[in-house]
Amino acid sequence: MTPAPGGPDGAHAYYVYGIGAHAELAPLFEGTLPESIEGGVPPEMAAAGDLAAVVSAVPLADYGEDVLEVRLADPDWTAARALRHQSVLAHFAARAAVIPLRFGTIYQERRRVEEMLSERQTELCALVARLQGREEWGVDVYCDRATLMENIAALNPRLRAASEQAAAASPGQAYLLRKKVDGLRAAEAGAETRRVAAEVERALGAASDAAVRLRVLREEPGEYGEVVAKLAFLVERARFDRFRAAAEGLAREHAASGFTLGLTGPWPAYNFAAGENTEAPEETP
Amino acid sequence: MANEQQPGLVTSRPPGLVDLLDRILDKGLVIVGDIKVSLANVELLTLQIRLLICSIEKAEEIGINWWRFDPNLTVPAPVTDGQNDKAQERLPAPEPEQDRLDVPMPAAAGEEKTGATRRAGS
Repeated sequence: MTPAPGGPDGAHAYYVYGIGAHAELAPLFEGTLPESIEGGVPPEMAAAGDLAAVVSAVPLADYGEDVLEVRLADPDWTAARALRHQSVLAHFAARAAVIPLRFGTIYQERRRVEEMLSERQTELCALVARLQGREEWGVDVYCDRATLMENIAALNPRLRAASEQAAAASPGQAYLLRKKVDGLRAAEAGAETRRVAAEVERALGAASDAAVRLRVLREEPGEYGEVVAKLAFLVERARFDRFRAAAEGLAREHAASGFTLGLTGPWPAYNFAAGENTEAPEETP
Repeated sequence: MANEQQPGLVTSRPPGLVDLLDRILDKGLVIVGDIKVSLANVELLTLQIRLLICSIEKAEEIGINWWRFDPNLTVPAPVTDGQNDKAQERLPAPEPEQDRLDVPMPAAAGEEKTGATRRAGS
């Protein structure tokens, strides 16, 4: 069911994707646009003062407070919408400074969106200014553990000495020494992993405006080994070449010991959308 | 273009759905709208969807191929005559700007309509 765009008949609510400067966003609505979250129709603009929001009408039959919880519990339903949310934001963020909103920001009426823009004008304008000319890039640090374990001895003289000692020892001693070496090796691998992740964060942080470390929920085995760190950086477009060169340098430097860096982006600035005075996600009920 | 392993930085890999969902579902400015979506639920949801996707990932590859599995996500050909959007997997063309990596920007699913590109206000 495709909602009539903008139908102010009470059967629709307004889904908000992101916020930007009116002067920048308005012309984009003259061009071709991606589909909105319910498909079929493009998003629309809600504006107040210097700000504009990208919105679209959504049917209350799906987005009403009581129904939405049920719909959201269906991963297929939600995944499809989450991706359209992204495709709308990606379109605008590639062309203007846009504050991406969290998935599922919904107002009863367009007027309510405009009120929100007015009320938070100062804070939102500052945030838009901060994002101007910048985009988010993700850097995932992967570690191939087998390669790291193989090479770890080369990185640590103490470990190398212990291995040699174990190799030369009598069978009885060798067992204990080998256990000790294994322990040392695992500890050293862990330390090296943390050291590499910290170095990537620091070095790329210096080549960007801001850095955040994202959570790695559990081991996420991927084709390049396990994910040991996920980082996001806010990078000025004009400095991207330098940022990328820095990432390439780090990747080369640590490749032999089993590390791979994956670069993704550009993303809308999802991880840099919280202003000084905005509620952090944890604090909201 | 996926899986091109090169020494150094991997950039040719399109981000998988997990990367997307990591950001889309529970990142971004938190503005409490009129319709309450519990943030705790969103987090739980992210986990559920991750699980769903991870299991598919094991069978297939990350990201792109996943689209094939969800009929809702089959992207209709740019201008079909409103029929048969079964077409083959097609990701929207990446942004034409130079030096951009391929972020899949699924123009997603017009279930029954085509028209991924219509002018606003029409």
